[in-house]
Amino acid sequence: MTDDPILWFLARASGLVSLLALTVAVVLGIAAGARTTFLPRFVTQGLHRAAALTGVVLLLLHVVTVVVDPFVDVRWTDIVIPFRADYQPLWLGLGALAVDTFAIVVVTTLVRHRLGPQWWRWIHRGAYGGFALSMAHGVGAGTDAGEPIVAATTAVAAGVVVASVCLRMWHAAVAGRGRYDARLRRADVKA
Amino acid sequence: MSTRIVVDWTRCDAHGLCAELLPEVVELDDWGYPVLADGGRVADDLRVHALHAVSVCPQLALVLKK
Amino acid sequence: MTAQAHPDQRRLLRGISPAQPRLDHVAHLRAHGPIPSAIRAGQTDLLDHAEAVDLRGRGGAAFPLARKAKAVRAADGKALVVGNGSEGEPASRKDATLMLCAPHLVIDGLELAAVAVGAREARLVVGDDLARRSIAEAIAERERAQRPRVKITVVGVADRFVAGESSAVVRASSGQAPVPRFSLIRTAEGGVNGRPTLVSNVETLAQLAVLARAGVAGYRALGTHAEPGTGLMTVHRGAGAEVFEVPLGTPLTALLTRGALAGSVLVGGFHGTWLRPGTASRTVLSRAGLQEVGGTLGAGVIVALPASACPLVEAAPVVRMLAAASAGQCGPCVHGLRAISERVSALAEGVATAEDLRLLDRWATLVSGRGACGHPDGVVRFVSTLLASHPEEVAAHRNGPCGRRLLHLLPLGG
Repeated sequence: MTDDPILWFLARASGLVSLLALTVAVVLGIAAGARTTFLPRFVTQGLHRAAALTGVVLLLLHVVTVVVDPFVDVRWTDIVIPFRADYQPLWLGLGALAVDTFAIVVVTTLVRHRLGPQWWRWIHRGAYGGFALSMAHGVGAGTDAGEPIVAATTAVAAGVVVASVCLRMWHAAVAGRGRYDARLRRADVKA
Repeated sequence: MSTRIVVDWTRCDAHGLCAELLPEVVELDDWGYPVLADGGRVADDLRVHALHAVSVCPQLALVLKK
Repeated sequence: MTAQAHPDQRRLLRGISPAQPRLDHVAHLRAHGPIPSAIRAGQTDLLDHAEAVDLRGRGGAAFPLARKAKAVRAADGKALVVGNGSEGEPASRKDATLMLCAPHLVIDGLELAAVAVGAREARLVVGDDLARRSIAEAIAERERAQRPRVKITVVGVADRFVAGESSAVVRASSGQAPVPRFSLIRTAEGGVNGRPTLVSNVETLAQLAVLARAGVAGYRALGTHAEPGTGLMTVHRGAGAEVFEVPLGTPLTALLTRGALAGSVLVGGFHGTWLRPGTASRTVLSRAGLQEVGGTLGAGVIVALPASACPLVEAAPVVRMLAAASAGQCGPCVHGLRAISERVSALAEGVATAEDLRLLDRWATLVSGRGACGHPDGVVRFVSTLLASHPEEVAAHRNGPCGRRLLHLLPLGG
């Protein structure tokens, strides 16, 4: 078996680009939820889905190349079961948790019509967790994390997401949805 | 075969994507909620757009019915 | 709260008097007699009788009971019956009165309906506390005498307006929040927990119990040919509400004297129709009769305003209450009714513009039919007929307030 650096480059590159695509997906998801109008709403949502799909496909490429690459000893099961790898178990474990989270988010989105909007929305918020886990994994396990350009890109991505979340929360507090909250509650049913 | 688009009013939250994707059938009222033309009837050549609208609704508030 | 009618025209309220305001089981059997054995044994199909007399729902929608019940019977699954005694309409007292005074007739009807659709279980959703206690006591009384054929559960519910809507009642009967729900499946096929469910107003059930004993010919002895039978009406004509039982086809003038007909009359409650004095005096209390004057009988609520009252001033707080009574689930209802109530209040205060009237017209068509229940449609009917039957008052209010005080003649409920 030759020491093929191509796989190793592919593994690192796909990991990084996947993270960037997911950053774009998260920001667009926040924009869609905030009902921004700088683009037609179906476009914002469509771009969100496209970025998310890109991120997930690249993530699959990333985990496959990491396992296939003989340079590090990572098994197929280490992709989904965390903290059991021989190589950097903690940081890889976080990556596995990220994969698990995104898998749940993707599957529930595919069957969302069966779940109903409330359940689906709650589970979808897990994507934030998946994103944070991916970031941590990249910083801890990423062999390029020390490179200035990579570190800078990662920092900017994190910053953009945090800023978007803050903006969204501020916007929600200020706008005050004005939703008339006269819903009858269970308490209105006396046994 | 006549297809109709139906709104679950308890879920609809006036996001308005349906009106963007199916303007021939859906218009928005004074408060952003969908108004369906002709009882929500969807012509065969618009069916694919109606399916897209159903898929895209953030509140899963649309159903396509025979 | 009195209940009156011509003695031999009383069926639901038979045997009830100031001396005996409530019938216990013994008194009930004395007043009504036993249920014929052929019906009990299931040899005669009670639903065929119901079809023969075109028994309609008394909750407001007037849907044919036989059709609904036969659909439940034919559907797959364990059927159940839900009696609707929530009476969320603030101006209506007939259901509470019926359950308070003649609980055994309601329970008879519930059991008969259950047996007719093949259900072993029934639930009764009740809004009024006293009525609920009356029903619970009646059930306990029967259980002491013998094991019931049908298991009946009583559920209390807040008497909010929309809580009385059919799908809201289905939810309330399972302990869920009593708000209307969206479903592509009819309740008859998939109601409580997806089971075939017959939802029926308590007065309808009581009528069924009367029909079981009277038979088709006997039931047809009162009422009109197209609409046989009697109906309970809640009448507001000054001080408080009274519940009357009248044969269908009775003229409105039988319940309202000439004096009471001097002002405007509201028929059908807060989802109903406003009538001008002239129209009111030739209105007949039946579905056909109300249809003729552009209205609907609804749940049989009649409110007569004196000539001294201004209908716009009296109605404005009611429209505000109706907007607030929304379950809050559907956008067009929440926003539309609030906007409508603001304009109606402006009109009553004499500060409405031509634009306001144009918007009221626009919103009437915009709000109807775009919600999970009929509440916005009913409110639109109330407001549209209010404006249409009082054109002079509307024109006068465009020039300023009318100066008449709010007399609180339209009951807003407790």
